[in-house]
Amino acid sequence: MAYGTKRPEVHNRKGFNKYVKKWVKFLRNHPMTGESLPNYGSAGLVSKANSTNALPTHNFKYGHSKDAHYISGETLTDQFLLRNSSCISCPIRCERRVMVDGKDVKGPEYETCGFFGPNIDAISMENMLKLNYLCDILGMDTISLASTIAFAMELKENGVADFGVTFGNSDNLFEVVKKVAVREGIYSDLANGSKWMSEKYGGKDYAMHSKGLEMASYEPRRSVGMGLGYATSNRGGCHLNGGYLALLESVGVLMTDPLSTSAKPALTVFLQNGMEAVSAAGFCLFSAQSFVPAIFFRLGPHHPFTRAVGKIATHSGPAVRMLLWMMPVVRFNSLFLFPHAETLRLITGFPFYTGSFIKLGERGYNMERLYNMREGLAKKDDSLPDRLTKVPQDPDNPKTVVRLDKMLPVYYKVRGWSKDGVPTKRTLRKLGIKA
Amino acid sequence: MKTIRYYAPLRGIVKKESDETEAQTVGDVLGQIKTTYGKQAYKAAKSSLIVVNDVSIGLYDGKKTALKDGDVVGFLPLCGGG
Repeated sequence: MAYGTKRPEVHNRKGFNKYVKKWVKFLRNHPMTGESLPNYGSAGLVSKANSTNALPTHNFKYGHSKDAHYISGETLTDQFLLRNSSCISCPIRCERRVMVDGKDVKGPEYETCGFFGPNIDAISMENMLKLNYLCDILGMDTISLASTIAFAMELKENGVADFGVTFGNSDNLFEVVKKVAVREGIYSDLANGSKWMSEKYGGKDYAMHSKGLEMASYEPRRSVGMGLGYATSNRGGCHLNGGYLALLESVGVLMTDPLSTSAKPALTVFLQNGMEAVSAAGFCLFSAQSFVPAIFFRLGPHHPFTRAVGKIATHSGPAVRMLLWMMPVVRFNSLFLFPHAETLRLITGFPFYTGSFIKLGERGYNMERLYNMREGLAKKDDSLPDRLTKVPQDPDNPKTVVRLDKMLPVYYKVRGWSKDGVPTKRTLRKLGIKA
Repeated sequence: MKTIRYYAPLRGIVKKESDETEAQTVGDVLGQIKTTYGKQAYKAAKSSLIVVNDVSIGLYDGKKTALKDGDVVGFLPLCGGG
């Protein structure tokens, strides 16, 4: 903990102010951060994920819902949006403000739309807005809670346990959510999450978590790199700590082959390191989403050029590994790729460049890994439920599973870890970590 | 009969939410938009996320995707977040 009474000095205030102005202009002119996020919020991803069969439906059993447009970002904007809002000073302004019970409150993010929507087969925007608000005031995470409720629904469907929740019905969830919050009766079990519940009641193959954290709303069988990210993320099934490769597989403009395992380990390591650095520096991760050049948005996802670049990126593993290896000598900063490094350089006067910034993320990632290992986590915990690794999403396409067995060994190698997923002495020395 | 659904930014150009069409393929729908609403609308339509019954045409045959009666062709915005 750092504290003090004086205002921190900025190394180069004039340069910093100038650069921030440039960056804000860049974000406002970029189609992702200047148009789609302010217009639709993150909820705009619902239609996109649904269109590529990557929207978890019926507790991740399927990846597509025919009714998803009722709870999409477009519907939210067209019929329910009061106004945009934002965190302090943010130029993106993706926050949705909606009306719930006569109050102007924060609207749902993409994850909430997915999990209190198709993943429980309940398609009611009105109920979802209320549930989102209820979770907010009760201090509960909508991903973990709604995913645990979906698990409870499947337990009931399979005749294992009955918590009074059923797929397709969100009308009684207000009471359920309140009971979970105060741990009333059997609902105390839901407060412990799906991992705990699967250990008590069974159903481990469809308890949709990794390392005890429920996964975000991206179906990994249609974004296999995102699956690798969920499995290896130090925080558990988190899309952001997991590298968010779904953006380059199933919900972005520039898409690699979502079923190919080819470059996914290297891309996952690169993005995990980058996002780790952005998070550690205190920035919103949306500020890094402008790394896909605007030209691809102008051309669109179906344009031959966009598709060709996506195909090349699908096989970019060796190039990305080379880039990771070269990080210490990447001594430049750019508005396109992690401009955060330049702001840190101007504030602190330390030699922050894209390469050293990403290296910083790598160091953090390894330190988290060591912490997890000290607390008892190991290679066996870099895992996903059997539903994702053994059951194809499309019964006619055996490739629609997450081939962790194929990707994990390569991932460990790219990270400089042993076959058991332990950071080697050489890797730790290189990163300046004393274990 | 098939339905075309417009979303922003295309909706802002064509000034309506939907149209009916007898087009046989997604490419024909794009041609119809060009003829009816002009080049600007065509450009916006081409760069949208095009879906048939909520599934990306990238998972079908792209612009050659054949349409049948009752199909809904959507022109969705490209979104981000997470």
